[in-house]
Amino acid sequence: MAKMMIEDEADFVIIGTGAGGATAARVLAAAGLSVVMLEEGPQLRTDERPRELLPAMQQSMRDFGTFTTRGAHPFPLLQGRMVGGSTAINSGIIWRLPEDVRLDWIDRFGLDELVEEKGLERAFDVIEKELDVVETDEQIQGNNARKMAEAARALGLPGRAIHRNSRKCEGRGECLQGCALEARQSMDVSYIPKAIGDGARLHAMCQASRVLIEGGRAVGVEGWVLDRDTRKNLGRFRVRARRAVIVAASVIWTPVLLRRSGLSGLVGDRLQLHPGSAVVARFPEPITMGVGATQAYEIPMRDRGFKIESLTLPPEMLATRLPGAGPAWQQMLTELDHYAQWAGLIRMRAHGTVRPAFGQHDADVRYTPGERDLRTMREALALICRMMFTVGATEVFPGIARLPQVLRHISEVDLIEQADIKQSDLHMMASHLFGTAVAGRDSATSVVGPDLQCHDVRDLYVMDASVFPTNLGVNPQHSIMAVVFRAAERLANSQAIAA
Amino acid sequence: MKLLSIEHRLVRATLEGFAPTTTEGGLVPLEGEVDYVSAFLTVANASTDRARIGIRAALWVVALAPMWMGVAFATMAGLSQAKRAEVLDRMLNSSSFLPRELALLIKISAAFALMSTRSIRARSGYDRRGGKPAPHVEPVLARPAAKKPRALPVLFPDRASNPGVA
Ligand SMILES: Cc1cc2nc3c(=O)[nH]c(=O)nc-3n(C[C@H](O)[C@H](O)[C@H](O)COP(=O)(O)OP(=O)(O)OC[C@H]3O[C@@H](n4cnc5c(N)ncnc54)[C@H](O)[C@@H]3O)c2cc1C
Ligand code: SF4
Repeated sequence: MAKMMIEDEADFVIIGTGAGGATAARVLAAAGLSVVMLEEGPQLRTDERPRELLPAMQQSMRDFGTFTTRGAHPFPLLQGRMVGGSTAINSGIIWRLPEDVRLDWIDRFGLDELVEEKGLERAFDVIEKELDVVETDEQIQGNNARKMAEAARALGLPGRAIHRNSRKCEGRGECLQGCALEARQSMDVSYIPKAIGDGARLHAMCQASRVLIEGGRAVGVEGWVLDRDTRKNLGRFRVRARRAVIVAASVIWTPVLLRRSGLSGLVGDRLQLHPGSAVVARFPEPITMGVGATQAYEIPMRDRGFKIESLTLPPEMLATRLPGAGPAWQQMLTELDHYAQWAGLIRMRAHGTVRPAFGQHDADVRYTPGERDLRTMREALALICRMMFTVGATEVFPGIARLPQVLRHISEVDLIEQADIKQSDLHMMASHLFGTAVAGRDSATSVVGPDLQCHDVRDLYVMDASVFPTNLGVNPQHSIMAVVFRAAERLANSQAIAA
Repeated sequence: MKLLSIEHRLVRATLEGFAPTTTEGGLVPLEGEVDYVSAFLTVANASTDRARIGIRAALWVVALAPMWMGVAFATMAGLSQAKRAEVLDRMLNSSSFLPRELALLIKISAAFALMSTRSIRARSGYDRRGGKPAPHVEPVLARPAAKKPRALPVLFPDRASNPGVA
C-alpha cells in the first residue's frame, strides 16, 4: 500500500493551475470560499527557472515537447507542466473571444448566459487590467517583428502589433524560460499568488488520478504525490471537496481524468486544433532575433482561416530548423543573427479524439488534418515566403519536405502554391487546443452545461479550454480566462445564495 | 535511460557528424568542446516513454545508415566525420518520411548540444548586437580545447529551497 502523504479538505478542489484553473482559484478565493489547487508539475520561483533552454524545457514543458499525436505522422502538442500551466511558458498573447465565435456558441450550443455580451466584456476588462495587457510597444518589437510589419505594409495586409499581458516587457525574448523580469503576467506570478493571498492552498507535484464520485456527486480527488526530480510516485494524496471539484487539467488531461473517473459518452471527442508551422529566412542585414519581445507582430487573416505571427526562436531551435548537415549547415550557424522566423497558424476544421492510454498518466490522441486544412496551411506558408522575399530575404527555408529546402527567388514560391502537400511533408506543432469536454445546453451533444457543470455528475465542473465547443482560430488564453471567470463568479454567487 | 557503451560511441560519432570538427570554415567545434552524450541523454530522459524508445531506435537506424544506404560496410563511427555529414545530409533531404524524421530527431539533440555550449553559441552570432559580440559572451576560440566533455548544468540544483510538495 502506498503511504498517504497529503490529506486535505476545502470547499472547492481545483485540478490544474493553468489559464483555467488559476482563474477559477482567483475568483473563488476572492469570494471567501476555501480552495485547494492541485498541480502535477513543480512550483518554481522565477529566479530558479534556468535561462538555458535545455534545463528550462526539461523543468517546465511537458515531456520536453515530445508528447505527440499518435498515428503514422505524429506531431507535437506543446503544453506547460508546472504551477501556472502553459501560461508559464507562453508568449502572453492576448485575444478577446472573436464575435463570430461568441454568436455561434449562443446559436448552436445555447451558451447565452456564459458568453453574454456585457458580462463577458466585463470579465475581459477586469483581466486586462489585472494582467497588464498592452499593445507591444514599437521600441521592444525587435527586428523580427519590424520586418513583418514592413512586409504587411508593402503587401497591404492587415498587420498589427500584438497585445500581450506584459506591460513591463523589455523584449528579452525568453518567455519560454519564464520571464526573468516577471513582466509577463503568467498565472504563476499573478492569479496563483493572488488566490494564495486570499487563502487558497496549493499542492504542487500532486497528480490527480481520479475524481471521487459518490451518489452521483463529486466529493473529492485522489492521486499520486510525485518526486520533483524523478517524477516517480512518493505516495498518495486525497482531498475532499465540500462543495465541488473543478477539473482544469487542459484539453488533453481533463478528458483522461474524467474517463478514468467513470465518465464516458462524448468525453474526449471533438478535439480541435489551431496548429502552426514556421518559415525561416536569411536577410542580408542583422535581424538579431534574440532582441525583442518573443512575439510582437501578427497578421490575422480570419476570412482565409489563418493568422501569421512573428516568433523568436532560441538558437538551439533555430539551428535545428536550418536545413541539412555538414559544411553548408555549419556556414549558416555562424550567422544566426541574420535569420527571421514567422509562423502560420491554421484554424483547422478536422476533429480528433483523446482517450486514456495504458500507463499512470498517458493519453492516446488522434488527429488528422483534412484536405482543406492542408490547403490552408499551404496558402499561409506560401504567403509568408512571399512576404519575406518582398522585404529583402535572400534565402527562404519553407520547411516543407519534397520541395526545395531553400528558395532563392520569389518566383519559386509558385512551387509551394502548386504543390500537393501532405501532412507528412509538414512540421506542425500545436499549442492551441480546444474541445474534448464541450459545453452546451443539450446533454446529447455536450459534456458540461452552460454553467460548466457535468451533465452526468453533480458538483463536477470543467473549467479550461476543453469546454470550448469550436476552434477559436486565435490565441486562446484570454478567452479561457474570461469564460472561466464568468462561470466561477456565477458558481461563487450560487454558493452565497445557497448559504 | 542508460546507454550501452557501444551506444555511447554511436551517439558521439553520429551527433558529431552534423558539425564535423574537420570542416574548413563555418562554425567548427573544437575537438571535445561539445558534450553530445549529455545533451542526448538529457533530451531522451525528459521525453515521453514512447519518444524515448523512438529516439533510441532513431539512433540505431541513423548510426547504421552507412550500411543500409549502401555507402560503406560500417557504422557512423567507422566513417570520417565529413562522410558522416554527407550521410546525415542525404537522410535529412530524403523524400521518404522515416529516414528524414529519424535523422531530424537526432539533429535536435545535436543542435541542443552545440548551442547550449556557451563557446559555440558565442561563435554562432546569435547574441551579436549590431555586428559586435554580446558583452556577456567570452571570446572562446582562444581558449584551449577541453580535455574531457563538459558537464551540462545541474538541472535541479536547489531542491531543498523549493517546497514542491506542500
Ligand atoms: C509554448 C506555448 C506558447 C503559447 N502561447 C500562447 C499565447 O501567447 N497566447 C495564448 O493565448 N495562448 C498561448 N498558448 C496556449 C495557452 O497557454 C493555453 O491555451 C492555455 O494555457 C490553456 O489553459 P488550460 O487551463 O486549458 O491548460 P494549461 O494552461 O495547460 O494548464 C493545465 C495544467 O493542468 C496540469 N495537470 C494536467 N493533468 C494533471 C493532473 N492529472 N493532476 C494535476 N495537474 C494536472 C498541467 O500540469 C497544467 O499545469 C501557448 C501555449 C504554449 C505551450
Ligand atoms: S519578451 Fe522577455 S521581457 Fe518580455 S515578457 Fe517575454 S521574457 Fe519577459
